[in-house]
Amino acid sequence: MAELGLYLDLIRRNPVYLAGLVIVSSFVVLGLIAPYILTRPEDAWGLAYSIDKRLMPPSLEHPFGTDEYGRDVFNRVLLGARFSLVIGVGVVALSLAIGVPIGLVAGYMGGRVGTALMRITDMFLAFPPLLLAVALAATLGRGLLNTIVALSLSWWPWYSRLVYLQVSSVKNMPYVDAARVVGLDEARIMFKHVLPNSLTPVITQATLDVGSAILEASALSFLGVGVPPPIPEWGLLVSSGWHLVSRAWWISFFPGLAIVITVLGFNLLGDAVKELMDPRLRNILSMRRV
Amino acid sequence: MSGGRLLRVSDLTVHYYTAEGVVKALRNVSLEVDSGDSLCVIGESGSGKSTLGLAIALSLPKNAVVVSGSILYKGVDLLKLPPSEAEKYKGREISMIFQDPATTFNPLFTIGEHLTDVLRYHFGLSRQEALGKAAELLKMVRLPDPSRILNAYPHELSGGMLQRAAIAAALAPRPKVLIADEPTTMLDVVTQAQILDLLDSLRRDLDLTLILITHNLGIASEVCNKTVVMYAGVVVEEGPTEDVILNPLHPYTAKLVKAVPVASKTRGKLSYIPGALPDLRNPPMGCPFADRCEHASSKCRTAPLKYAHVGHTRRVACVLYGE
Amino acid sequence: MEALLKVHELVKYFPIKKGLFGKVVGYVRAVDGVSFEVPGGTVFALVGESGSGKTTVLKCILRLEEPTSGDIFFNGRKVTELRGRDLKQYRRSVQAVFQNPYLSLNPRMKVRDIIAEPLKIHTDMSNKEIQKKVLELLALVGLPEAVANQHPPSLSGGQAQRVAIARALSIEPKLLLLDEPTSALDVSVQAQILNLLLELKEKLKLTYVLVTHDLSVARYMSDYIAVMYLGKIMEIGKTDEIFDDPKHPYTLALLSSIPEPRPRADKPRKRIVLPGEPPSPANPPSGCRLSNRCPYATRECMVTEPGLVKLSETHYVRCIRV
Repeated sequence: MAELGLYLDLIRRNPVYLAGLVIVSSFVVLGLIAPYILTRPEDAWGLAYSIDKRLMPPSLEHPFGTDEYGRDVFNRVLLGARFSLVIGVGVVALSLAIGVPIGLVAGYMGGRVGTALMRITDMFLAFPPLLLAVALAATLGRGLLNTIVALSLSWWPWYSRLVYLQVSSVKNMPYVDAARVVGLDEARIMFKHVLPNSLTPVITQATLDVGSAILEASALSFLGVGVPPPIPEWGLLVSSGWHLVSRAWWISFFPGLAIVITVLGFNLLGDAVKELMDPRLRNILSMRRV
Repeated sequence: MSGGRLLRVSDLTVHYYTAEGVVKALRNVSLEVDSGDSLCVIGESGSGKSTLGLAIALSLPKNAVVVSGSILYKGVDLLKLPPSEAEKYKGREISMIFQDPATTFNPLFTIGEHLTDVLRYHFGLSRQEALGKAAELLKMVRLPDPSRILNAYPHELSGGMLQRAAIAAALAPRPKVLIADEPTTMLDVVTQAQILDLLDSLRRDLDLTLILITHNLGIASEVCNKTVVMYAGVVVEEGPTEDVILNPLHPYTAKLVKAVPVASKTRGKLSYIPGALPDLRNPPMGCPFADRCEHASSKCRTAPLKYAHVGHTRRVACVLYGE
Repeated sequence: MEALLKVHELVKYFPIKKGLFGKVVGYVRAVDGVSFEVPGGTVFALVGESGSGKTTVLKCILRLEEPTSGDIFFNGRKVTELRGRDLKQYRRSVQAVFQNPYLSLNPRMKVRDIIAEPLKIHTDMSNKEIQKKVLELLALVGLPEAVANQHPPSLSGGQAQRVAIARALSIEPKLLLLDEPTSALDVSVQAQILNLLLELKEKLKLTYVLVTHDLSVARYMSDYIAVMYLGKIMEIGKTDEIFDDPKHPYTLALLSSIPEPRPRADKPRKRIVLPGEPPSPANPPSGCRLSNRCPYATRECMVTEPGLVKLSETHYVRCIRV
């Protein structure tokens, strides 16, 4: 709870961080409740067409206008938040599930096994991440699950490396020696003592990576290898309005804006959290209270 | 041995701002140092001894605030100086070495590069001149083979050698005062003896005033002529070292002396001090040692600390010695 | 009386690897032939500075390191070859307390779980019984019950070290290894812990092997002392013998280097100065290990390594001058 107080101090020092918090919380809330608050669910889910309402600019009735099928863009963007949330969290969760065990085993065992595992990790890291994701997504084909899998396969090495580094130093801590002396077997030491003490930086990084995952997923969908229509994923929405951008700018603009704001929000939150973790800054922040 | 009064700390109060609250690290600390003294500041963790050293060296961290008090050096209040003036004293008249010599040196630069930087900054020497002076400094701190050391990186030197190099760097600008914060705690006993020997002879040869911060009573006894005992941010006792250690006045000092296992006396039972330090975020009114003191009375807990003078040279903050 | 612990010609070399393929270019001779016996019910101190090998000896006894050669016997049984269930049983009898309790206790675990862990591994006591025992152990080391639900970082140094002691004693070992148990603590607390350890030794009939760099602590606590330098024992004997009649130049240097609160009149005392620094254990000097620093070294010293010379049943010195 001291954290919350410090966060408020941080915001006072740099008000931009407030935006980060607001954006991310709004995004999460919207993502969760979106399907239940749609005013035009048939538009959002892409189940209906209204030829007479095509390409209408933003108005009171349609705040974000309508697309070439007459569907209300606002509803589509709103539902898109749900999909972005699912993808973002899904990618991070799956990447952790793959990367953490690999990093843990590699770091704890060290030696040849560790080196081998890390070489494999390095191989994946050598590819520019987006390119790798695109290649994997194209191979797997379009689909929500495929997108999540493709992104996770390009994402896990980062977590693996992070865990490996942490574990490599934690395993030399005296309390690990003490656990051996007490009689614990190596496997239990690894899970009970080493892993919990190695996860903090990973968890922090992962929470903030949700934003980056959303960005990459939209890139994939934009390129046509991610989520298929009629799912209102933001990247897909942007690409669907691309050929109309001079006549009906609102079709690409609003989903694009949603991506930018959400990712920006996560980045700001991430910066704030990193600053908060810095011990010296924490002390200086507390000086503001007086 | 002592010349006139060189340094006078008066009513110094320093607070640290931390994420867990404001720590009142020093509360109304006063002491005097005469030129040529070797003063020992004795205390355990939480005593404020390091904070005191940093304050005098004008090196307090960013989250420390000097709430009140003054540090008069040759009559000038160091705390009131603007940054440009403070430069003349910090690191030049008053120099400091620390517990871990590795933190003094940038691991990317050789010892020679570090020393020449310091010398050129303070004296505007050419590179050649600075190198020559650097070698002299290394000889002064009894480092063998100075040319090898000048070309060495910090990680290539042992703890003892690195600490000597740190002393050389601290003495490069020819300071009047050298503050040493636990300079031998990380070193082995034999090396420690060498370093303490060195500090003592440097003090005599260079007419240096030494402020040695330590928790080790033995070191105080070996090196210092005057001792100040600190507890939980206040000075509890002050006087000539021999008197303070062999005839302690304050109950804390007495307990501290009895808690030290001594190699050359026969085994007896060591005494310890039950209880724990008060929380410095909320220090008690009155004497901070009251909760752990067997002589404590209600007066101890409520009355503000007052110092009683015992003889010409000793001072103690304890009601046992009258008002 | 058969010694409880017997260390015989213990050797531990650590390979130094360089280059891309980890080629072995030399060895750090951390422990180079150490032998001693610890009778049951006594305190045996291994004294030395950093690089002396004393901690490595401890780690070998604890099976945290495997000796390069040599044997360790506990209760007559060879310890160095134990595996599996036998090793587990050995661990039940031999426990340790390490130097820094904030590092030797898992900061994320509650004190009660830390102390309960050995009991869960070695006994089949029920949870309820274990919790009861945890509270008993806390009382044994002088800690209030409330500490049980705290985490190590919120404890004071002295409290944390007592938790470490409680953990070590939970499964009723016979031998307790102490690695600089008070070096990380304040002086006023140090005495408390040392006294507690002495009390517990009497109460629970324990045997201690104490590793320390502080001769004063060694004197206070132990019955026997072995002075180590660069992987070898330089002098070994009863505590009184070492302090009243030290013979090895290194022992003399150590003793004279200890800063002690003394009256001015007693100064300057005769100090044996060892110039220079201890050489690297990867490259010890030829002949006697101290030969490059010893004020009494002769040519003979630099050529032949002396063996242990017997001065009494218990007192041995590794020096040709004796």
